[in-house]
Amino acid sequence: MSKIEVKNLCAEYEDKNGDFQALKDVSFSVGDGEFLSVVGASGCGKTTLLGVLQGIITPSSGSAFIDGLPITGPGTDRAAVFQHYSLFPWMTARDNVAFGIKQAKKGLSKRERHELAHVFLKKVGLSGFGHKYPFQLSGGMQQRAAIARALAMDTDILLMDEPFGAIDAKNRSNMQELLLSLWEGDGDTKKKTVLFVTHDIDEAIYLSDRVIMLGGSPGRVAAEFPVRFPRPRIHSTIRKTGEYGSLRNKLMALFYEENNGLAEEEYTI
Amino acid sequence: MKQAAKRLFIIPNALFIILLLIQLLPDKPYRVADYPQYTVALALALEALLLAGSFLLKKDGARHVFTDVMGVVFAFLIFWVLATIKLDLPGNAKQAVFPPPGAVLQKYTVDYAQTLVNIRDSLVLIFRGYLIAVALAIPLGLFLGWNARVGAAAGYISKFLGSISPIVYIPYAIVLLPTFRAASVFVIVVASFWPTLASTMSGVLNVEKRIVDSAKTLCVGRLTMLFRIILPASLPEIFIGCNQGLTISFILLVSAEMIGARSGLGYYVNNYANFGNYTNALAGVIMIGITVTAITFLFNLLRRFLLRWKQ
Repeated sequence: MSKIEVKNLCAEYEDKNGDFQALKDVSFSVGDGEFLSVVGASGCGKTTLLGVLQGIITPSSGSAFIDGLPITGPGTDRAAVFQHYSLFPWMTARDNVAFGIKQAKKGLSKRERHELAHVFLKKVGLSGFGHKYPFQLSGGMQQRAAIARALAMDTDILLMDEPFGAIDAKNRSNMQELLLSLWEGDGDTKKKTVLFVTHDIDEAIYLSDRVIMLGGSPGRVAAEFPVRFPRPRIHSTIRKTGEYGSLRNKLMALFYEENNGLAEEEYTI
Repeated sequence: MKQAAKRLFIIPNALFIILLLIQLLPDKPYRVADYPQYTVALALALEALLLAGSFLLKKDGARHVFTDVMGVVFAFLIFWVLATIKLDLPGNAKQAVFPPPGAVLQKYTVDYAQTLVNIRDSLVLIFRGYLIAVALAIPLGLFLGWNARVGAAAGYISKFLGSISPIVYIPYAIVLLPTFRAASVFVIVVASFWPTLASTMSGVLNVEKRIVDSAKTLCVGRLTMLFRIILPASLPEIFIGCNQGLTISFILLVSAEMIGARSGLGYYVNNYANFGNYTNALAGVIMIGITVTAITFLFNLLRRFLLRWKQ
């Protein structure tokens, strides 16, 4: 059975121009322990899709399931990392992580939560930064802390909405490597099922087992590509292969084809 | 060396010397006894503070503000001494409405016990009223701001009620409530309640939606959402209303004390003014200024501590 199942999902959101259909008839599934990326241009409904899975947006029709059960609201079986504001600015890095732990795992004492928070901050390379407030951390460090919180919650599923979108290229590739090493799991955590939303095609290929392209407006699944590079993957090695080039070209071509109308609309405003 | 000279040869220091020199001018005949030694003592104390500040404050900006303020204080004292006892300004010498600084300072040395009692009485009333108002307004504002529908109606109602100056309640409160102190507390509660409520509601409405979403994905309960997410997120705006409430409270309390109290800073000023003792009245006026400034300073320390997570 698949971990996440999305069936004929339609969703709308309300903005100042009235109701806007964001997703139309989207269906796909994510296997247990799979790393799936969803790519598409801005405005194709990626964030809405993630909102439905997080349980903060109610679909207008169709449904989404986790372990075969329909999603009715947020749950601590899922942890989320956003591009901005995953962390609460009034809590230190440690308190942010500890807060996530408190929500996901009942019955731990405050001290145990703090100790666990330190363990996970160390995993993301932030030991010694636990007492800092988010504004005292760089964008990359904030995202590391957000990832630490998501991992510390020890959920089966990780939902990520362009988590590295605001990070410079060099740090981004470090973060990607970090994410992959943590996704595999270790003594403290199990292997996660990841749904990763991005508009960066290289990022999607490097990270994923499978890439889904959303396109059009309202968004629908335009295509699906398996990514078969063996793991652990090294950026520089896989980029040199012909397979990488052809996959990237295919995705790029489709990306522009699918998002043509959308892009024109954006630019003519 | 050059650095030290730069910090020493500044206008405030020149004003300090002028303040000392004008003490040597002959006094005009005056009804109120002056005590120039207190003026000199104050000048020396201020100068010590000025020197300490101009050498200890590292940041240029902060140091400049500090020395500028001290300069204004010295200039004001010079003007005060000249206008009251050294020059013959028409009217004043006969009426003694404006006593010289030495006379006012001398009152503090003989009257300090009474002054402290009055400060304490005023502060007790302020804190009671203010804390009741804040303790009511913040939770209510969180609840109303978070529940959009009741909040919208409450917004209009609070705009109407908040627009009525709390001064109009003073006569009613004095008649209706058993003691003057209860009446004062009531007026302070009303005065600081509305701005705190309004700023809390507006703070809640302006909380970044992404922060709320982030909290929702963490499955926070209703109370956790209100007090651990919404409250801190709207705290910067809540403080704006709290600050307004505090300022209004002081203005109202002193006004109320001038009407009907038997103690407090407003009473002190009004009582002495009624007997034509302007030296004590002025001492009270200055003490009101110092008290309010001190409370505002402490309030800002608290705000900076609670908002230390803000850039």
